[in-house]
Amino acid sequence: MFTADSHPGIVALADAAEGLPDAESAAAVRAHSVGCRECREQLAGLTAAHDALAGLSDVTMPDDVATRIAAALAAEFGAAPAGPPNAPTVLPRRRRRVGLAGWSAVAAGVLLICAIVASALQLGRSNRSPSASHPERSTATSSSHSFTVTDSGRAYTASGLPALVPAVVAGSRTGGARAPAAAAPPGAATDLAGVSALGRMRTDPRALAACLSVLSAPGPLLDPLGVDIGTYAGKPAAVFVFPTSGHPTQVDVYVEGAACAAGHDALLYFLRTGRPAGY
Amino acid sequence: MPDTVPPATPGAASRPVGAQPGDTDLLARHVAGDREAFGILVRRHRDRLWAVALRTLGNPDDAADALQDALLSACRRAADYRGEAAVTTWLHRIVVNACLDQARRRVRAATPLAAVPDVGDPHDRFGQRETALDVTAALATLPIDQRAAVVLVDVMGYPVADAATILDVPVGTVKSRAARGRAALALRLGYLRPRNQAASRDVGHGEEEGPRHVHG
Repeated sequence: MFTADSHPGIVALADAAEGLPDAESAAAVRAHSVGCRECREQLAGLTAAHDALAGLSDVTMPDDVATRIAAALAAEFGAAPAGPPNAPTVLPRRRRRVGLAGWSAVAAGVLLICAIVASALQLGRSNRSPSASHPERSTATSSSHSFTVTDSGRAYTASGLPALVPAVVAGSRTGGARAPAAAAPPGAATDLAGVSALGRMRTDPRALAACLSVLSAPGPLLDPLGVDIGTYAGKPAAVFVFPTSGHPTQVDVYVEGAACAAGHDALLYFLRTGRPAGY
Repeated sequence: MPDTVPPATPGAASRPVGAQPGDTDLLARHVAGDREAFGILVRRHRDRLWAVALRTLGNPDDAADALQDALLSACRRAADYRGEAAVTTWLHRIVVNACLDQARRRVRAATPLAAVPDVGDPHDRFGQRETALDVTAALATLPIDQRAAVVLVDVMGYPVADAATILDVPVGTVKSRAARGRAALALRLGYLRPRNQAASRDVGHGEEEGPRHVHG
């Protein structure tokens, strides 16, 4: 059926690898492949594709998505019993991760109403005692690190992040000045505890180590080039910049939410970009 | 890849663990009016459901929208669940259908690469980083039917029979879509040189080529 000059097409090979076509043509494909280097290479390519897919690492649902879905379900349960049984629950639809100010306010209201259902969906958050005062800017650094965690309060965005990476690194290397006092970002007002949890990383080496260990797992603690605390999509967030292993001209940038200071992975955004000159 | 634990099948989690209520119990409690049961059920499976939505749609915004629609729908339709499949399979089917609806509504392609965190190995000690970004982008180029099959079978590692139940198609159709999807990815990722024009044409489109498969 197949000769050295006529090979089964890639789809026929893929089907045969799956045991798909009728037994006779599958046997013909396999018999051909045994003696055919090209076909064996094609099959190897299919296997490599499968392995690449299987190699995609597990993801966990991000905090903000879990919160949003919790709010939607809470609103579902909180719907007035007197209403029609199938009344649709209208919730603002998020368009993009940037600019969540309006949604955060609605979600906060819903969460206040049905906190029990909402909390069932939250990631394991550490017990927080909201602190009344924001820690003063400190120049304290952990003795084993050559950088300072800064607290610029910048509102980071996915599109703006690459341009701000040099500022994050520069600020951490020089113990940079705090940005002029900005109005609290919209989301931060509903998460004072999150703001102070991240702020602790500037003064408490254990909080910093907790977040670094999440980012460094499973290996030893890694030294970032820079760390800055601000907001991302209206939530308190810390931006970590690491050199990219094996790529001296690149850096890996992680934006982590407040739960990171308690040792939980709270990745909000990841970016690989060029390494700032001079660092 | 550091994680060598094989992924659980959709049906595995419905077996009760110790004194904890099983998935079927939770769903029944939800239908009976327990306000917390559905949230607990979702919490158990949310990471895998999120993975399916994210890998199928290719960007977190669409995935979050589809997942919200799906979970609200499941919440409301829980009384329709008849136990013909595992609760997780039922949940997966609703999520995948919501993703297919979302994908068919969308005109624009999935947003690339920086929007999909892939944190299994933050410092890429195993050299996986660039491959992961390419695969994610290449997945987004597949026709949605092939993409859904490949996500369930290859990415999530579910048995083909479970994927068939989730997609509500015969097992042969799942295998066929996954095979074509894998072939298209192999070409696009450069694991194969297009051997001839016919080979490229075969995988370039979403039609179900080849013989129909009859399954009992």
